[in-house]
Amino acid sequence: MVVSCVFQLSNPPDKTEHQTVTSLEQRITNLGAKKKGDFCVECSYYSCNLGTSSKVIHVLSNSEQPVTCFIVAESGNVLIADNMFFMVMSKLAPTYEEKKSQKIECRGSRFSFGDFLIKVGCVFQVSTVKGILVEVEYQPAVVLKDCWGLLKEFVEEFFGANPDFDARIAHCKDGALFHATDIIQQYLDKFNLYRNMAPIAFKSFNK
Amino acid sequence: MSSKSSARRSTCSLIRLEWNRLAMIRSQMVLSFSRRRKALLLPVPSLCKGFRVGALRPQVGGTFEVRKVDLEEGRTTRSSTLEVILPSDLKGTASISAKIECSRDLMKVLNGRCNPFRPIEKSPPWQVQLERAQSIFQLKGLFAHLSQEALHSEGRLVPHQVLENRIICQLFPHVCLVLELHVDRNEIEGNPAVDEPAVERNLLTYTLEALLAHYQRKMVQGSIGLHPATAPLLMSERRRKAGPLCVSREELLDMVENESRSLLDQAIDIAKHMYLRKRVVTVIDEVTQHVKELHVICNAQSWSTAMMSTLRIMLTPNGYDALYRNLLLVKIGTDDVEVTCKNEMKTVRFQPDLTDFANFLKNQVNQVRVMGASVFTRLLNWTLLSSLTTYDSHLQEQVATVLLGSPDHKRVVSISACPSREPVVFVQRWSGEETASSHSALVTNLQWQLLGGQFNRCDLSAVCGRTFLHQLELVLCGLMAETGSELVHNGHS
Repeated sequence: MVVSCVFQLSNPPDKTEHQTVTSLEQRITNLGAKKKGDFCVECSYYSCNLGTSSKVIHVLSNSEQPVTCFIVAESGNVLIADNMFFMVMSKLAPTYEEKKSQKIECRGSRFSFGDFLIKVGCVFQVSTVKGILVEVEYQPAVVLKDCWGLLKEFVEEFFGANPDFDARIAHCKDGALFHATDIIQQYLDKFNLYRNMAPIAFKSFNK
Repeated sequence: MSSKSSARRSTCSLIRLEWNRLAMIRSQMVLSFSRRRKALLLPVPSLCKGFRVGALRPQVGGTFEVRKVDLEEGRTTRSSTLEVILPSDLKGTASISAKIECSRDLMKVLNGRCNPFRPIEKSPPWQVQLERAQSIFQLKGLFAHLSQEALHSEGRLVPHQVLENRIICQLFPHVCLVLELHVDRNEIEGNPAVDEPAVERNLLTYTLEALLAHYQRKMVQGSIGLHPATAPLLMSERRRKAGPLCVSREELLDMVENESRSLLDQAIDIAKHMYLRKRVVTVIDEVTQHVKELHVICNAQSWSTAMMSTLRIMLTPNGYDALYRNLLLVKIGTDDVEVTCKNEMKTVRFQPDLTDFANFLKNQVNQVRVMGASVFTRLLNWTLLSSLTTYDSHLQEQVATVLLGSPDHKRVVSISACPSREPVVFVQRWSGEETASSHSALVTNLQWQLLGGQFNRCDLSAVCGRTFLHQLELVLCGLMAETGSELVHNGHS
């Protein structure tokens, strides 16, 4: 499993998100990176009303793991299942209703630059552009603490952004392997920001 | 009294008659065969139907008979009371032989026979006979499947050849794999589990046996014994687990590609790898067998599969392991050999021909000799003046040479090494040995008088020392002394 960080990119007021993404892709290509296809991370929102309380489930899928889907509950529990779990959710439709207005996704292009994989994508919520997310993967590493400095420097040098990861670093055990759920957690945190919802603390595997 | 005894005698004879009738048990059985499971015997009502075995295509029919032997018939030597009567085409033993032949050298590189369905040693005789009959069917079915794949394979420069019970596939130019089905109809007397003919076993046969057994198990599970918990559900177990294990896109593509490969292609890849592995080991042995001054350690790494192996070669000067070492990691695949040189931080790929690999290895050996000597002499305070690698057109190989200067700046020694001979030491004549007659009248400047003379070869056979570095140490120490000139042999350089 690779180590990656996901961060938001601010959009200048005089440009649209598409123009910003296009210029950023041009800069990445000029740096010497090669385009390696597209990526997509989707998040569906299911809620169940039980009288006074309601239960929420987020179902995420990442094109990097094409046959996997991640189910995150409000309590922070994560279930990793096959892609056919969506059919299970459709069977639970009377109880867990999908809120299509809350469905959010990030789509964009992937670029390979040496040991790094850079993904630049626009965030859409029901065809409305919400912002720009960038994911930078460092492929040779599997432990976050070993390569965090390198990742942070790369992101700050090239993108001028600060990948706010220090809190996650503090909770990581020494030598804990980076998992796909860590990437999903980062995406979900950003998606919840765009949805104006509170972040969820994952009860994940290696921490 | 006599009437009672006669009545008892008649009753006993009646019982004996009934026992004889019951002793002739005829039934049709369907045998679900697995090497690790006990044979399951299920009664089938009809006596005339043929039995079907696993997932063999086409279906093979036949009947066999299992009889209960009456011990009173005098066959007390038998260990079991069941006797199996097989038709003639089910008797004997079967195996598939795998040979890798190199037509250039006219030699068989690897040769062996495999039968993944051999009966277990301690089984009862009737089970061994039934399992042997089963193995004949299964091997015939597998061989027929391999023949079909060989006939219908596309996209190859040299097509596969199928000749009756033989399949010939080309692995590399001049190297081919020959798969042959052997059926020995001679019935084995005595203990059938022990008296099977001994066959040559090697890693190729073990791997092919595992492949054939895995394929047969997959086919059998696919057609019989479907259960909701274990049924394949149109995909393999590995593919089903791919989702919860967060398998990436590249791993998924590899999985799909591997699963769609035919049985014959997998067998060919295994054979290619075994051939390359054997050739690499042979080349390493040939290159290093005459190298006395180096310590060569070659280990196979634990992360090896049927189609990929890794070797670790460590070259160190003999007796001076901590002085200098060269580490080579050799990764043997199916189509090429990749060598990573740790000292030079480079990776080189070699073709299956391995001529370039042999030359590369010889040059690495050469390098260790020369660099080991230069590192050693630096410990004795000698200075490395220059290091040169040239191509000798006469020897047709690379020659590495280092030039070393003594601590007192009066002596220069040259060490030259090439793969085909042992290292040679040349010593420059000492400027102090020059006599007045050797000075030219034209050259009067003092600086020219301090130049050294010609290089003379040093006869290392006259020097004591177990290894080259021991001898070199003595030579250098002797040169440092005032009377170092006796060691210089006045031969041609």
